[in-house]
Amino acid sequence: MAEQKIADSMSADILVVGGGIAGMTAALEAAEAGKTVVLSEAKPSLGGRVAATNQYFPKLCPPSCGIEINLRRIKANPSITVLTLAEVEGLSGGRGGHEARIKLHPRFVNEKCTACGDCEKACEVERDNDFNFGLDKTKAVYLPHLMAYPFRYVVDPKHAGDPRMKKAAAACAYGAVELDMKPRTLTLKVGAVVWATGWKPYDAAKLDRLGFGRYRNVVTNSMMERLASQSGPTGGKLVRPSDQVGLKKVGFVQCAGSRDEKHLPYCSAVCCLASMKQATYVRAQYPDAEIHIFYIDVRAPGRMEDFYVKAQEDKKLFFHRGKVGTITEVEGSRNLVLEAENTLTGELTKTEVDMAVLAVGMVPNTADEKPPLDTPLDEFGFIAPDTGKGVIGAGTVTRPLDVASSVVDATGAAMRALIAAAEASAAGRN
Amino acid sequence: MAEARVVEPDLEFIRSVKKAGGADVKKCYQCATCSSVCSLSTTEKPFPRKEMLLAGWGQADTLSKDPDIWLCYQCNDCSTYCPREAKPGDVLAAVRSFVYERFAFPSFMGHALAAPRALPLLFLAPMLVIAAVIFASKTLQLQLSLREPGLADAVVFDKVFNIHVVEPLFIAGNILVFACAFAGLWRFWNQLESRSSGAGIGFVAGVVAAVKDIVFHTPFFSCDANKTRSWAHLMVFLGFFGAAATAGLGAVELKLFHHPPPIPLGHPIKWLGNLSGVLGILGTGILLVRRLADKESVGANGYQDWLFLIMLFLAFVTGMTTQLTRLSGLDAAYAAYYVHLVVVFFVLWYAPYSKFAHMFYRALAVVHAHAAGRRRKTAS
Repeated sequence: MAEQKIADSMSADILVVGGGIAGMTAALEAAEAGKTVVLSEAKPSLGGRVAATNQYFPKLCPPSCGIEINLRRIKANPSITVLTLAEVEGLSGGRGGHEARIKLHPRFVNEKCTACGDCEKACEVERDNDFNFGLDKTKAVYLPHLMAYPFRYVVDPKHAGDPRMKKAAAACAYGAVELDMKPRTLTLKVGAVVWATGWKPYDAAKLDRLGFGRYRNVVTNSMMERLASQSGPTGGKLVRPSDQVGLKKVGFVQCAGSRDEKHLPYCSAVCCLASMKQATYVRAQYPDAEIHIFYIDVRAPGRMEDFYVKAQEDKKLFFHRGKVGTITEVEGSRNLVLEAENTLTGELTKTEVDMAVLAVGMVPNTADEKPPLDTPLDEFGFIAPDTGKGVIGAGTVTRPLDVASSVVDATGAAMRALIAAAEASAAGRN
Repeated sequence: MAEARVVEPDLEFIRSVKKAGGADVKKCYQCATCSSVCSLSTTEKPFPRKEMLLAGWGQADTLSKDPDIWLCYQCNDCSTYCPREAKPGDVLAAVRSFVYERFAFPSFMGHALAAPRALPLLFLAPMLVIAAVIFASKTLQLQLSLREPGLADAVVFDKVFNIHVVEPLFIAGNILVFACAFAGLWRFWNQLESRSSGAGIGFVAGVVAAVKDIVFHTPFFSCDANKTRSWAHLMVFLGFFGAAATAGLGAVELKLFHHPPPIPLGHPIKWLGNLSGVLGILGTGILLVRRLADKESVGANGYQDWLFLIMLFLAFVTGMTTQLTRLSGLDAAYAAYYVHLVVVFFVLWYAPYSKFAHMFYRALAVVHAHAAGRRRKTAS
């Protein structure tokens, strides 16, 4: 069911919070099992971090692969109601039934939007593109990304009050841009809640010796996905940020802040493979580029070992055992020098590269934005898969996971939610 | 590949490292962040990653031969960035404490300085010796009373601590101590392994380079995490050598020019002594306060660290107190001087076995490192 005029008060069997790959999967599994589901997403579009990925494991699929098919299923399923720009402000109740208070932030663009782009062309205000980690800019009225659902423009709330935006509103032939749109709050009664609010990359600026934020050619692994993506800031051409020049030598810094008592004490389990995967992006565009991966331990669990073995066959991909402690910029060329001890030979090495990719780990969004219910979190902020209060964690908000495992995890969460919803229904509370 | 070798961990060594401040040595997972962030490390075979492995595996023999543990000044840049909080800076300091003990001659002195329970005995020895000085001085009183009658009422240390007793004792004691220190250092020097394949600069040039390092405190000032300490250490360093020079010049005044102490306040030697005293009190004071207040960047404090620093602080403080009470004409000056002598003898006589010995061991290791061509990566 498409996003529609939503009543101020409604009920459903299951509320799924978070519209990334895990939330979409949980919502679909529950809905296809016959339950009514509300899927609540904080951003203007579904898709989450997978939509921002160039290719994902295990088969190096483009995200359209998983997202589009799920979007089709969501569009076709009348049991799912999608809310975007929706913030769950309050959650009361417990196992057997919840009541959620959801704030719908204004999109400033109504359902008359055809995504023709006339407003965007007329718009004179720009904003940093958070979808591309600030690597480029969009207009203040923008389409979140090419696979956005709903496929509708949105106005950055920071700029909605800017008088120059009136020009963009006037350019719309359908009267879709409503700059005075107000937020609303709705209440929702549900039998079970799935919490799938996902993750964010660790703040690389906290790693003061690695130069992120100081040197333009130091990027994070998440930025690398955007740099390689066709929908990214460079249209998929891998170039370094300072001068848009192609890559001859790239360094990957593993465990940038991970397995570190002062930053993220745990291993995110995907970054080693993500770097090897990103090495394939580099290799595809630059057959002669040198790739240097600096690691503490290469962690390629289970069948991912195959990928590691394949990476080792690449004659220009060098693995260095030793963590990069310091990155410095070469004056003039803006190249970067990665300093590490090769612990296998006991020599201090300085490797000059064009661009350095920091393999930062995954931080659960619940670490900073606690779920509204008194839900137990572990020491790192991850939510328990079953909190015992009818709030069921799913995907990377429960632990670091790759995309495929998130999908599996979300299916399991949907199963738990079905049971909880059935209990609530039997108790007559919903 | 080198031939296979069974690693035999020295468990007693691991325990002693853990006790002396390296409690987290086993947390190390060998990522080598430390070697990379250390500004004093060398390009070839950098430290302290390899030392962390050796310490964790209880390789006492290899570590006591390792000159690199002396190239570390515990500025704790490594500990600040260690992702495991294994505190390499503290571990290396603990290994150094172990080395004083290991090379000590006679070896029972090494154990005594490392064990808190031996402390009363260690104090008792200089207390008795100085008491004996007083006793001996009394029997020589007759000869002394012939001197300037005007001083009869003033505080004159000579009356109680006869200079002709104190001085030979001091000189003979120092000769003995240096002989013992030399024995330990001789063992140490012969054990030091050159880890460099590059051409060295030779012993003499090594000494010159080491003296430059030591006098200018270059390694100290290239650290980040524990920077304020650099100035404090420089003050203590200058204070100590200033005080030592004062004592030496005082002896020259007496022997060559027959000017008995006290040296008048306006005399340059007195200036030197007082300046050294002030520097010493300030320097040791800052170090003590920082150890108490800023544990994070200072690192762990072993027994040897405290003992050495407190005794040095007391040596400077009692020295100044002695002078002030003497100038005020207070009889308490005699008591102050007694305490001062006990503290000074404690510091000097136990020098080869306490943390004081870092002065000798480190100096030698730095000479060795320079001579063998171990290049600091930041020195270009």
